[in-house]
Amino acid sequence: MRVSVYGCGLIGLVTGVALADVGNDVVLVACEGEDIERLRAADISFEEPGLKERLQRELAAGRLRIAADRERGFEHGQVHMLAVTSDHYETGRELLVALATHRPDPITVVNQSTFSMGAALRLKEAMLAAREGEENLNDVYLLVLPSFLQEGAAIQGFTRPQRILLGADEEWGLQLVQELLRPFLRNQGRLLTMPTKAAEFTKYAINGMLATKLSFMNEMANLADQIGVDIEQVRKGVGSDPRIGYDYIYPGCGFGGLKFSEELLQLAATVEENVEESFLLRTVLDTNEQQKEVLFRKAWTHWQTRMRGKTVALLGASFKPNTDHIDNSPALVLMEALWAQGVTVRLYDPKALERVKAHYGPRDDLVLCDSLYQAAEGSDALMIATEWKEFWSPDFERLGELMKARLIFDGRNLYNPEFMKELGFTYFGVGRSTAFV
Amino acid sequence: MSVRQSPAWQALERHYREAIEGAHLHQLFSADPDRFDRFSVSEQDYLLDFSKHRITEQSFQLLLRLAEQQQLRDWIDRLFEGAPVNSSEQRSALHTALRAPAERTPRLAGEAIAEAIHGNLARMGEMVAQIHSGHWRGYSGKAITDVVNLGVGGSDLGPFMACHALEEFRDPRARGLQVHFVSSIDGSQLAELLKRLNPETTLFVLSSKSFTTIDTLSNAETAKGWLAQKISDESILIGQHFIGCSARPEKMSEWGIPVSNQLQFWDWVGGRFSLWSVIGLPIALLIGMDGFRQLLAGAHAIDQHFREAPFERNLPVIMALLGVWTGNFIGVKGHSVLPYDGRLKFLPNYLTQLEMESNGKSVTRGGERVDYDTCPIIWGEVGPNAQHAYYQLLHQGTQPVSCDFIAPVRRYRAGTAAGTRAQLQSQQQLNLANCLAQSRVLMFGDQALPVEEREGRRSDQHYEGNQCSTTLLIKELTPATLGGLVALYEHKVFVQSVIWEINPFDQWGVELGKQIAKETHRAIAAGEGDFDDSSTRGLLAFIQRVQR
Repeated sequence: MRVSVYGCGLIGLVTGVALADVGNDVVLVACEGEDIERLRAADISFEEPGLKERLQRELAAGRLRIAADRERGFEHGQVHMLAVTSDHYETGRELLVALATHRPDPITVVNQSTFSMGAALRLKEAMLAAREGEENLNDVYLLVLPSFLQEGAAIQGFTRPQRILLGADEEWGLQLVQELLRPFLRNQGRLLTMPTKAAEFTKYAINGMLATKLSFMNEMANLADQIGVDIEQVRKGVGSDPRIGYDYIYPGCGFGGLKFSEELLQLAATVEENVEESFLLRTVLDTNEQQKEVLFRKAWTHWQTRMRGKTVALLGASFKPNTDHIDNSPALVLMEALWAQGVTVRLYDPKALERVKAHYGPRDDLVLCDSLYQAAEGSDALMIATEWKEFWSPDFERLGELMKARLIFDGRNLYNPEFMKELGFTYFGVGRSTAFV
Repeated sequence: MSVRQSPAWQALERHYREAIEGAHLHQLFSADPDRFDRFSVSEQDYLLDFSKHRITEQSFQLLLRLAEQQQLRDWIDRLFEGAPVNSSEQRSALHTALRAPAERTPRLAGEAIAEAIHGNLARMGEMVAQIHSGHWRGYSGKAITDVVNLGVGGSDLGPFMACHALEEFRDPRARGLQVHFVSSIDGSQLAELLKRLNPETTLFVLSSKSFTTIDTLSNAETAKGWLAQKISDESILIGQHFIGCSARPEKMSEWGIPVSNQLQFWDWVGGRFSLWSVIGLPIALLIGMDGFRQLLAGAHAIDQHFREAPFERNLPVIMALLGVWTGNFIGVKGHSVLPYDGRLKFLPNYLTQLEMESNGKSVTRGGERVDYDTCPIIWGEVGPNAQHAYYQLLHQGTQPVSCDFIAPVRRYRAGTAAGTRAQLQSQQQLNLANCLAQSRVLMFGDQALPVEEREGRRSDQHYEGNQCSTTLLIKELTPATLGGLVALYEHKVFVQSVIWEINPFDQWGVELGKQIAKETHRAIAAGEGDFDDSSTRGLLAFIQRVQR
């Protein structure tokens, strides 16, 4: 089949590569300002095991081509896959409207981007409106394929899914896309079809559930601090219950990323005006915003509000490891809180420094560092905001010598409080009840 | 010589007896078809209609002559230039300087006060920004969500009135911020509030010009005790949870407020004229510094008008002269302020203090006892609600009463709940209709009806009419027009004080009660002291019996 994929992020690349691999003729359209030459050289800005190699292979085989102008995509595809990031709704809408005016024949679009509820219907309406006055009025088929890709296992997730959730409102488009996905459903995988709105709402509910699990566990951690138990022991106990499981129950200094953003978890005003907002999710998001400041609050009370002139070494700026994205990242909230009290931040992040620099511009109270040791130099405390692998086991002796004081605020509970105490560090985790160690 | 014996006053008395006493407002209107044009002034966003007063062109000219005779022009200049118009305390009353641009701010005794004013405004702006951004932290590091203003009188009424009026102009950055007001000495407001608030996220603004006001300080002690249950370090407790606004920095320091948390104003700002100073902090917290500066700018625009406009077109001068006319010549003892706008609910309370504390005096600046009435009793309520309360007395009672009808015209252009705007706008039309109808009935009485309906009515259905009123329409209520509205009344009060030859800027009448309360407190708390009147003794005895 001839397929056009719009968007060269993780989802777009994985989709393009996986579809090309099973024989489809794929045009991948870079529509979010990506560097086209780097993409053609299979040079991708994030890490995903196996992706680079596969991309090279498909490019070489000619089953996958990368295009800069979207018209090539418009003309090529029998099916059009939209895979832009969730903050690029306008880009996506504008692109689909252009597609609808460009192609006079029936169009099948599969939206893989996570937009707010009701986006599929709104996009379809926009496309139909663009065609108004022409003959075939109702021949735009817009399907929803919510992404369940997990970073690190994304290719596997696409090619051998446990289930595929597909939202479709018409038979015609459904059949075509089912055919496209058939190679990935040969063994154990199941295809769940439902109306687009239901598919979007399923995605909404899943993200909401994950956010709720995280926020709940953070609240437990804050209580554990006060009660005097170690949340790590509690987490293991809770996770051992198969009804709950170990995923998404790591307490920490809050979660970030686009999929948990305010906009996405807002129902009112996106679906219909008179839809209630979820009280629980509102609380979950508010709690999470508070949690992003948990390290600040620990430092504030530890230093008895006297923070002016202090220097903090901050490890991690991205909202999760292995990415340079800083959207809604707890580290941003934390830095702003520290700056407002006159604290200088020495920041180290393996990938996200450029983004931080672009976000804030140059400032005197932000020093970008090349290593965690450089960040630690002369600092009054070390704070950890992102659980990058290289932070798990640093040379603590060296750290201690570089720092002005042996003080750690660990927002990801990477270290063992008792071991840290033995090394002479004052250590605060999230829910680690240091006071009782 | 009393102003009462002066030529202009005497001429007014003669004129009243000869031309006005026997005339009814409906006659005045039918005699002069241009009456509204003659007796209304449109200025900036305001329209003042004073045609429903029992005046003729001659009355108006004679009133203007009274103002000239009392050298009002000079007094206005002296007020703005910072002369010691507060004669008993030898102080200026420079509230107008608080809202003037720096280049128009006068020097005071050779000193540039513009710097002090704008310096404090800027510091207030910094605090507002810190609180709005969530970077003002409570003892546990959480952002402030609730601000409680502890103040009474001028440190309460102005900000409280303005915050209630301007809620729809809330700064988006103040979305999650609640502003509360606590004034009463008995702690009843505070007791209820503290049950609901979280000490971690509550900030108190301790506002007192003298910083000795027992009402406010006792509330502050209670607030401090409430916080002390959670935080033992007093420097953190006060440093993170108290801001002081006062003219006495040394007293603020004594109380423990660090200099960084102090905002200052000065002796030359009267308490009831202080909402333009740092006492306006709660207003700025609600509507942002931009909004607060608009409030100041609106007041300043009226200041300019007051200074420059000829008296016959000068809104505060006209409002003041009408008050003198109704009070001193027609014999009105009560004046009701009737905003036809729920947002202005607390304006009457505010004006009660502004007018009665300023002009409720009975000796002249020279210390002579006056032989004429000064400030009438001022009271008021949201007009449509008062219609269901005390308008009965206005329409059919035995008292001559004057009224100010105040109504913003445009409303509900934005910011209403979904689906309610059209209905709310039609409510506003109904509201305006009531405003105009009531002043018309007060003036005409039965005469507002056609003859056939009027005849044959029972005497208890009779409306005499002939009650005077002023109608002030405002294009739209905004921070700027609210500022202007308040400034109009401030200047009205000043003009009247000039006519009556009294000092509007002191308040010796509130001192003695405070003093006597101290010994009475000893009697209640410790059973000490003896009183020479049986009433106090009897009441104390009852209190002591019940307390036991």
